[in-house]
Amino acid sequence: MQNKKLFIALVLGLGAAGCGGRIIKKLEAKEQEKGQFNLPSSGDTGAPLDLVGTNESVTYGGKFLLWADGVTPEQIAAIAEGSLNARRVKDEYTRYIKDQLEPAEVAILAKKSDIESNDAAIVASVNAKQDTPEAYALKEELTSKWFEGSLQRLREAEYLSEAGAAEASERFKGFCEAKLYQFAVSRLVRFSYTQRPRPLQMCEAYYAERGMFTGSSCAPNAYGANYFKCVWGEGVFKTQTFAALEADGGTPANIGKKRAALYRNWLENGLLETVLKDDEIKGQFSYSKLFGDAVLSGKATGLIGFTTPQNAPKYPDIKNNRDVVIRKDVVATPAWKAMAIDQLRLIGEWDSTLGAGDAPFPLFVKENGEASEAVSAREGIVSALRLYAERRDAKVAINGQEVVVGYSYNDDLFNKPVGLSISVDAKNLEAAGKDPELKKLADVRKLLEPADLVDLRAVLAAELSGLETALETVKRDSVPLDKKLETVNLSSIASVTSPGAVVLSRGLSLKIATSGETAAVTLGLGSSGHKSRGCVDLGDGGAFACAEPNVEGERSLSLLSYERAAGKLLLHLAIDDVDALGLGSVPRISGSPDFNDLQPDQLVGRTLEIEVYANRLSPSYQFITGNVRLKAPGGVLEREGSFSADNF
Amino acid sequence: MAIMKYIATIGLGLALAPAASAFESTKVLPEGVRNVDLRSVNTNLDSKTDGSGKPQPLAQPLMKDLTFEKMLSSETELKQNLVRAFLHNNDFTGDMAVGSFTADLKGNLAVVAPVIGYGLTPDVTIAVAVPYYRANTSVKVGFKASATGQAFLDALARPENNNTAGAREAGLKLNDAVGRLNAKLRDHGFHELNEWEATGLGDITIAAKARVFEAGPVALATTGGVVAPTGRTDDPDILTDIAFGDGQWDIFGQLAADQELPFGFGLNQYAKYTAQLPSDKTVRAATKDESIEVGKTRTRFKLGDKVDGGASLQYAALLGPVAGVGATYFRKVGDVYRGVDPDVKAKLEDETDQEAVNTEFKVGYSTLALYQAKRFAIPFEISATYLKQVASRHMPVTDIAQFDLNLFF
Repeated sequence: MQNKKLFIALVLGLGAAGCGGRIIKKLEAKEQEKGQFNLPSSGDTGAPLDLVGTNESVTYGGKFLLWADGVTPEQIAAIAEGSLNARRVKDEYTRYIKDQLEPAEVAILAKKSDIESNDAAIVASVNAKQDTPEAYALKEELTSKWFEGSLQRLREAEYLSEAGAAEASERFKGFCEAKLYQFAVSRLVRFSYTQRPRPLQMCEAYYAERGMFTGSSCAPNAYGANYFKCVWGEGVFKTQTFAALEADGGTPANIGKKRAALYRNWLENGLLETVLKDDEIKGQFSYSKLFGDAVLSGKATGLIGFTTPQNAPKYPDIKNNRDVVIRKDVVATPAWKAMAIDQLRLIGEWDSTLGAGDAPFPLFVKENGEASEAVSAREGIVSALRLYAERRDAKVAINGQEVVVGYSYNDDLFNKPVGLSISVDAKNLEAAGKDPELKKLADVRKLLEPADLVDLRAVLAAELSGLETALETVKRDSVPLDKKLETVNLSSIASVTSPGAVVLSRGLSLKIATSGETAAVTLGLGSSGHKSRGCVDLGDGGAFACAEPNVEGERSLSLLSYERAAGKLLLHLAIDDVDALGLGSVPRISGSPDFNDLQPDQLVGRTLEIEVYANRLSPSYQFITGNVRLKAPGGVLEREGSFSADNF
Repeated sequence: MAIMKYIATIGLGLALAPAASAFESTKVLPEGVRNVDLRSVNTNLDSKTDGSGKPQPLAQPLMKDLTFEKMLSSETELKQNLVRAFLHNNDFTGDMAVGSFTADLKGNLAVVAPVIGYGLTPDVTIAVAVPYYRANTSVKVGFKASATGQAFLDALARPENNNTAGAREAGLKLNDAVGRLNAKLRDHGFHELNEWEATGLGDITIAAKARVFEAGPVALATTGGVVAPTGRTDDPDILTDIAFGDGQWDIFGQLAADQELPFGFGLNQYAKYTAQLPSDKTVRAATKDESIEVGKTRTRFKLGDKVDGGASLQYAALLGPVAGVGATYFRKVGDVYRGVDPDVKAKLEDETDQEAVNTEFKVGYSTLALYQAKRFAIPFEISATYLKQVASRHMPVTDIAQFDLNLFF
């Protein structure tokens, strides 16, 4: 009984004891968060770690070093900071050149190009208008009444008497005929024109008065035509000289043999043959005393002669490649003789061998007691006319050969040969514009310029000026960068050469030439010039034999691989000949970052492992950095180092 | 090990029948009467108080920053210097944290301690307590990445530094910080941070109690005894285990006084002193700065002596209900270690002085009076005690539930 009670009590006790475990809830530790870092990838930095498809050929130059055993963090930090600083400065410089200097220069070139284009458009527009009837009309209006207007002004100023004005007007007619003869025998008459050429535009009123240039041979031709027939048939043959000769009977007896010979020479050179054989001209002049059968047969008399024939050149002066020069005695008619010659003298087109008695003669009659102002005013007009009408040597290229022709401001305005560009002496032409009225003529081209393009030219010029100023500023601002660049070379980092930091510091060059899925890698160390080369498949990362064989002295890398995901290029170089590989001992020179404390036996038989990572800062500044390991056979790591190189 | 070094003390104290609790008494067993007290103590552990009494997570020692220097500790000297140079050039310092370990550690402790007493004489009772422990710990460790750590990785990968590969390598290591911590523990002979549980004997207590004075309502009793180092001690290779014993002999003495009050009430006061004897053991030579990459070492030690006392007002009705309310004070002076490096000694002795103030509440039912009046056949007493810690220093923050079933025969 007692035991039973005890048993019951024990059961109750154990039950109660068990209750203790249930009164307080059992605790479990809470799960803890395992925070994760964001892992950067090559894509995050925008770095060109993936070389596939870049088709770039970049050569990097820099330094590699091997750390000394006792190198301190401070020494490493100084070297790394120096290297990083150099990278930053070079990037800043490259960025400056790319972002500031080059755009400024490109902008200037573009602006100049814009200006040239605009000027070309202006010239094209003016040239297009130059040959239009409107342009001719404008120029004709400014020139045709110039001489008469000048006489009128002289008269109004009482610098010229009425009789003097009439005399001057008559003499000017002779001058106009002389200019016609000059043009008719010049090289100019042989060219093609779209308009009938004007021997002297100021004489058009007189030419019209004489009924000249009215025939069909003088009609405009949009495609360009030769106006020899017009000039002679509708011009020369209608001059007073011809009229006087015919009226005077023009017997051959009046013509000397040498004159006939000279005239024949014209014929022999084809100058007159065409026009004289022309049916229309024949019909008009074939039975004249001047151009009868005798002329065509070589027995005819001529028009032009020389007082000193022995000195006269033949027509044309082929030997000296010059146009003919009209000389005295050109006109046989006594009434016109002196006048025409004098007018030609006046414009400087006379023979330099002429004597004192043949001195230039003014267009205007000298009157007694006249004031010097009157003389000066008249001479001013004559001077302007001379500058305008005088034909001076100008160059023209014909069939690839440069020849000289007489060319005047008048010709430049009215007688532009089709397909030929004649270089004129702009200064002389502009001098003709000193006369107030003729100056308007000089400005004709400007008047023809399109206003909008002219305004644009001013705007562009101002913009160009601004750009050039900006470029100067950019260049000036780059000076501090240049100086900064000079301070970032490796030799400026004292830690490189300080004791205990580095045992080897040598140059390194690496050329990476990618082509599609492959890359050729060429490594150079030190200053030996030796290269080691290998090719790698960027797809599977494995090395393969390069298609192009190594050049003489070039070796093959013992291993080359590429890890695309990491952008890691791994090079192995077996060290067998330290000198050939640029790893020979190099004694330290104070301040020089090129040295190698390692003895050959510390290098030979080892493998130099170079782990390369490429990157770029500014788009055009690329660089590579990575680790260098010196491993003994069996992969035992003996030394570690770093390298840095760029394409600067 | 360090994290759980306080726990055995608490468990031990509560498990012993003669040991101090608020509800002490001067009563002894009648001569020839035997008594079995089936005592059950349960508690959970998840925090402890620091020197100022503020609760700290029990896992606090695991919740450490991972600094750059810690991160580098397993690297070669050159690699360390290269990274230090990079840190210097990028405005980092070695004591900056790349992240922090987070941890949660919970412990569960259940002790069943049969205490067997015997009335040797009318005034002397001898007793032996054999605690049996069942304990487990649960630990979870995490890692919180810091902005500094991310900035470090980003700096490595910046184009001008061109070390994306290095950044990825470091990042992968950091993202497996917990795994690497466990690997590091394993490499240094520790168990990985994982679930732990064990059962076994605690330290056995043998005591004798003598009712030495009785005059009217007042009585005095003294108790003396020893605690034998029979329980499993702390395993220096396990960071999260719970010791069932402290590995050395204790000698204790106690004086208790009862004052009977009218209407079934009684007042008890007691004071106890426990001397912990010197011994030696194997410990990890941990220091303040490093607790993993350390070896083991033998050390002599002397745990701090303990003083505790308390007072309670108890009620026992003739028909059986019993109740009580009381308060206790506990104090242990700091431990002393010898024969180890100063840093190790400092670490071992750190936070070993303890102090606690508790309140206790008790309800129960006793048939002793009814039995003596021959109105109940079985003399027994059953009670439940709840201990509430009011304040403490360097002590586990615990609320303890205790059940007692006393059988007399």
